[in-house]
Amino acid sequence: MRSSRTRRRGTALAALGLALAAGVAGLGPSGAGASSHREAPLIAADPAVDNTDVYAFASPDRPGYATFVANFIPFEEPNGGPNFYPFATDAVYNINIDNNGDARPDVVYRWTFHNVDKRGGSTFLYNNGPVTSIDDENLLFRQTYTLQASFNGGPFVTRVSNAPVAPSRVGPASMPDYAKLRDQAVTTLPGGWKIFAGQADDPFFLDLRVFDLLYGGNLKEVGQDTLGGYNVNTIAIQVPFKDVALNEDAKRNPVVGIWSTAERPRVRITGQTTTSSKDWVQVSRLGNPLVNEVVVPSGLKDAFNALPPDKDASVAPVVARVKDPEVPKLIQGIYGVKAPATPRNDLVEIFLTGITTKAGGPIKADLNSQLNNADVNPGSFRPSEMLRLNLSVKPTAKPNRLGVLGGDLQGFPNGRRLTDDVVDIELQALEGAAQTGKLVSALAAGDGVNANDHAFGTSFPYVALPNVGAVNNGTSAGTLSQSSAAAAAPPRSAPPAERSVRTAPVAYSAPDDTTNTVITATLGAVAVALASLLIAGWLMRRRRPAAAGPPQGPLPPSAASGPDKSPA
Amino acid sequence: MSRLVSLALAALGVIGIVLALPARPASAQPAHPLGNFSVNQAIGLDLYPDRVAVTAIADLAELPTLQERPAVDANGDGTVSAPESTAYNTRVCHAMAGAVTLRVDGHRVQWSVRPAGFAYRPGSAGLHTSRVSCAFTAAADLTRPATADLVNGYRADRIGWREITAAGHGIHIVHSPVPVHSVTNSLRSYPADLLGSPLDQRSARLQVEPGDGAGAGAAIHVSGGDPVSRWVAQADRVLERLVGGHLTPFVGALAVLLALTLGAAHAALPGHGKTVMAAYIAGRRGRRRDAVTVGAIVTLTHTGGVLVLGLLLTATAGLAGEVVLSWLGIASGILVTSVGVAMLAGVLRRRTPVHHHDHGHSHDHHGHSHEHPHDHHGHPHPHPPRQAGRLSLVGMGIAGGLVPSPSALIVLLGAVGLGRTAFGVLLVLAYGAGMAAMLTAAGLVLVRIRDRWASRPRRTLARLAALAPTGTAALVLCVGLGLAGRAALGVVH
Amino acid sequence: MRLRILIIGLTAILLTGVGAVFGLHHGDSPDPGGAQASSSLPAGQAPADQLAASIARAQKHLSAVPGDYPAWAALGSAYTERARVTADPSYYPKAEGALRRSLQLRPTGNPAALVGLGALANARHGFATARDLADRALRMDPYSADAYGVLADAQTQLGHPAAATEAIQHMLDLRPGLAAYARASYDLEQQGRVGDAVALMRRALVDAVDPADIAFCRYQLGELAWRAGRLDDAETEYTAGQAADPAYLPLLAGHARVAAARGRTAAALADYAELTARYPSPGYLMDYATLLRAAGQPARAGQQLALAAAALRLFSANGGTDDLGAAQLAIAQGHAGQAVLAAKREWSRRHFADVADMLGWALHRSGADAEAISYARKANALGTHNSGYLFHLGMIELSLGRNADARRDLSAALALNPRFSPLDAPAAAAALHRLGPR
Repeated sequence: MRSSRTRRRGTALAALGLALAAGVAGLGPSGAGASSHREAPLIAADPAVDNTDVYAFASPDRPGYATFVANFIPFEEPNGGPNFYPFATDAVYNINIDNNGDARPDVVYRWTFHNVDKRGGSTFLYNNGPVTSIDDENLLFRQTYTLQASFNGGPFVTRVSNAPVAPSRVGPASMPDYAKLRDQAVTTLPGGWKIFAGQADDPFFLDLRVFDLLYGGNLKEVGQDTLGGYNVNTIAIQVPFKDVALNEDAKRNPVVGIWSTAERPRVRITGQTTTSSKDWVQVSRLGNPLVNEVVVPSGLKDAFNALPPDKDASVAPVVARVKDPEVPKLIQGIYGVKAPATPRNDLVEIFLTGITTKAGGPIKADLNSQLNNADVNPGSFRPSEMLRLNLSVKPTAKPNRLGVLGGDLQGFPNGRRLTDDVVDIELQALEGAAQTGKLVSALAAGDGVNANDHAFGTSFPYVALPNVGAVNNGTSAGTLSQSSAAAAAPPRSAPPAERSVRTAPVAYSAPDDTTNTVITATLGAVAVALASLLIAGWLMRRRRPAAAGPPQGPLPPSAASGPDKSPA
Repeated sequence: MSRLVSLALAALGVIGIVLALPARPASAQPAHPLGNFSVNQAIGLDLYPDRVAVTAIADLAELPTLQERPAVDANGDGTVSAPESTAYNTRVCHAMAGAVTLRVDGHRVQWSVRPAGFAYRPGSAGLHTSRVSCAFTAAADLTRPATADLVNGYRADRIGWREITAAGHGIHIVHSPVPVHSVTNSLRSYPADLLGSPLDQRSARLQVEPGDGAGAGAAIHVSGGDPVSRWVAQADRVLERLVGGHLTPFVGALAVLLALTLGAAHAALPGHGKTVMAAYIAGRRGRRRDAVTVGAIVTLTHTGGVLVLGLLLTATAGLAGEVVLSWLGIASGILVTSVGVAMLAGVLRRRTPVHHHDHGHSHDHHGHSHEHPHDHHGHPHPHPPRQAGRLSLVGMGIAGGLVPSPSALIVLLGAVGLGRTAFGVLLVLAYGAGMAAMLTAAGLVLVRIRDRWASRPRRTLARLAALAPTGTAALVLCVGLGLAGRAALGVVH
Repeated sequence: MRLRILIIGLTAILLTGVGAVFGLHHGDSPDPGGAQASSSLPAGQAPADQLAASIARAQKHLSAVPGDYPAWAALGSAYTERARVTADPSYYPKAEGALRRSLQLRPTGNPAALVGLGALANARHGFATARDLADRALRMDPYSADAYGVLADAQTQLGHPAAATEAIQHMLDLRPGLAAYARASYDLEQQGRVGDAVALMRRALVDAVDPADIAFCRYQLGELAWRAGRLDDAETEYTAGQAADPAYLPLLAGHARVAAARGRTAAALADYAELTARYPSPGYLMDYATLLRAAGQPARAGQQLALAAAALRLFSANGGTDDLGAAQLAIAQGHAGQAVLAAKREWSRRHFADVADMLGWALHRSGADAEAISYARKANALGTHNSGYLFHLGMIELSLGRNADARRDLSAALALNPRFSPLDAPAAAAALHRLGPR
């Protein structure tokens, strides 16, 4: 049935097609190259500033201390060999905290990395012998970092410099005791701060194919941790509550907002080209997980990456998309689960203001909005996309992977723990579970991945040790990341599943055993049934010789046989 | 006789012919879509128990051809004479032979080189492309399992499509990484697949062992093809794997069911004389009995043919299955043609007023008003034409079943190769039963439809109906010629 | 009655069959991992080529989820990049197909596909089209750094330096990284700020991950050194680039130029032979011809020019226009009048520095020096500071009798790079010698 919408779409498509055809007709030749003009790379991979996840939670083993973890560089292949993944040295990595709700950072922790490269251009080797400690001379390439902190917009003060970075784990022969290297990379400062930077197992667990939903897929293919077996680069910090809370009082002002950014210095080509250390360009940003899949339409990803949180509320399409998300409509189409009525002010609460009763939102709970901080001036509060953590909620002994929706108030969206299954939580939240307080049973399975493939640690930095050995999961999903540095959240570029750069011929497809066998068995049974039908029919016909059919004998002369006598 | 139904069936027949025509390759491209300076190469490896043969083809685009011209035109007189062409061909083939290395169990084979052709073809902008063919042979002992490593290093720095194919003759290639048949038809037409990068196969490692079968290579599937054929192809592969797998009673029963279904499915696809049968039933006023007869004969012929051919192929290693199939196709086509000729002759005979009847039926065709549809040759009566009719039926049946389905053949050969001959025969019988069921059903339906339509007189189409017998006879003739022709093409290629 | 049962039965089978077909169709997932073509990489070496790997992933993903329009757009852009890196034009139709598919799936609100088509248009020299596509993309997504990149490239080639600079600054303000730094470096070079250009290209090199990108940065650094006459630095950069990516062809051209400048003519000729065998573009063929002529092999030079003519003909036959190349070829073959016509046509399309220089030189060769000098001056004003432009300007001034200007410009050309061309540098030196001292 062609609705008018379809027709309009069709007309628009036709018009655009015509316009494009006219415009694109001049696109040019496909044959031999012409005189070359200078062609620079456009879509260049920039993984080092590619933000993947942010976690924030009250430390379970250290009461009174908050832990913040930010991960970068997705899909690091752990298959040994010459691959290693340094942090960018021409960028800075920040964890930002907003404790008064004005969407501007009140506390910034900044990591800056330096290379210590002893290879001298004569070798590409990462190490030339076993590396038994973090300053082993066999490790030819390593990095160090400087951590700076800025409070309430003040100047950045260096807290530690030349701290060691845990190296990329290249294999058991090269690094027989990696746990030791990891321990040596955890720096403890006087005052109780703990800091870490280095490689780790990617703690995010999900089946990225779930998001094929947005492009005509369905939720049939789930259950495989797309990120299983890969590593990431992690920066982590653990600080006392008072260092991040407003007015240093975590009792009166327990809620903090967290997001991570990567920045590069601004370069000017008009006028002076000196780069000032004060002028930075944000190249990626991440707060809540999966915002780019779930909330921000693909045409706004670039805007989201470029803008700081205090500009979010001014980007009308982003707010509009939060209030009217696409995923519930798709799920309604596939599962028949009714999409909750728009405008989705419950999602506005979860993503943009924090769950509170003070903003007039539908979720009647005070959980994690800066508006609930006693010393906050409500007039200066601005909705913005960031992770929000209420420090006063005590860590539970038995975390529930569904977080707040599973009755565990310490979980996502109240901060984010490593064990929180954010895909399932967000799917449920999109279907209105936060508002109704009830989980949607049709989506109970979610993406079928409920836990990470490795257990997390019990102490800082909590992330598991990096993997070694090739990644075994064959299927991959997810979109090619279009702007490498600008992906603020997953979609990450899909994992490199094959090692060979040569594209294999499209070999003959190995059929899926069980499905095909079942179906063909059914068909066989039906065929047998038909055969029996035929045989039965034939036998019955045999028993009735005066069947209706063309007469066998000669026709009587001038016989008007008229209508066929065969039974109707 | 219902004119409309015969027309309808004739139309179906025409559609059948159209479907029977060899399908055009999906989106055939001009000869050099890969750019005007590419050097495309195809290396076709043929493995025999005592030797290895390579067909190496290089397809040079306009600019490389132009760049090579001084080397071809040795005396610089602006034309390429035959000796110059041969000399260049020889030089290039020797260069290629030097760059294409094959190692059998680590030992490099020595090629003997034979230039196989060099030609210019018109390209774009008034320039030419060129095609060089070479044939290499080398002695090799493949009577025991071995590993063959092929590396093509010819013109490694040139951009171009590079493909490798490998086929075994009396040699079984275990898990071949390359296909048996060239997906570009030896660099003649390139698939335009948005989701495939140009092929760049420069090496292949094959595990070979003596065995039968026409080389189990990895088939390349360019995306496309209707769902039905793909399903059938996939079901074929499932059956092959079942045959080769762990045999339990459940698996055995499953395989039999699958063979039944596949037989029915293959009979449903174009082929096996359904068009011909339809035309026959329409034109000759066939009855249910005829439909059943044809179905039974087709099945018997087919099953017998598969068994015989399978035995032959198992016994004689040197027999190329495809060639035999092609010859069978020609024979089948000739048979159908003769049936068509017979039908046509029958029509012509009936047109002449010489009519000998045993019964006391006085025929006055002119001015005789009949109220029931009356065909000139539609009288079912015991008569010489009836005998000829039966012969035609048998002929059609044999023709339909003469060309065995490759899938049935492969199943049988696979089973025999694994020592499960009885199982293989059982599967072929099940396959035949499925075919019988489908064909008989189709025939019966046709008869039924025809009968239903026959009950409604259509006087207005009397003139057209007069043509129907001729039309269907001609149709059968054309189908027969088409089948024979297509099979002949297959032999020639 | 029986037949009715029969017909019902057949219909039932048909329906089941149809259902099964679709069921099997969805369960049918191609598995290229099962039977891989063997790689020509040495065993155990993990590839660092992100672009090729990402193309393979995207192809696999799109066969499973063909409705993923951002992935189609990304694949199209990746194909365009691959065409640039491998110089294999067979990727252009694929890129176009993938991008059109993306637009088909999502005709409006799809700036990524427009950007991809713009990048493709640039690659095929459709600069005006590229600019329009980039503008449309920017209206949809004003934060797209890629769109600014396409716009910057188009504006540069169209001869609008101010617009190009503005676009590049936007790019730097949105996503500073390899792509932005590389373009900014080129822009600074055109502004004459060579030192800053080198610094920015080094920044770009730090961010380069793919071997082809490293090779690109090295090549540009080599070119910057070459144009400043620093042959050793140029050679170092070209060699470093080849270590990263041996298949990157411009590095070979760079090596050849340096070898020729050093007098190692045989090596230079061998390099050019290899280069033109692998990638017979008109530009490289004409450079090869120039060197052959300088080395005293006019017959072979003529052959290369014939090849270049064929290449240009093929380009036009495929729907492209390259009047700049045609003009250069006409000059090399001695047909000055044709060169003027071709250059004028190109100038009417875009006021780019190279075009101005070519037009001026063509006019000079056809005797119209008075007209020629204005174009030569424009070229020097618009474009990068290089010996070629200065040489042309100096020779025109000489021909007009402006000896002082000629001496200044010819000396500047030689001061910048004493061996900037195997034929022109000696010509400049000879002309200066004839002029005598001041």
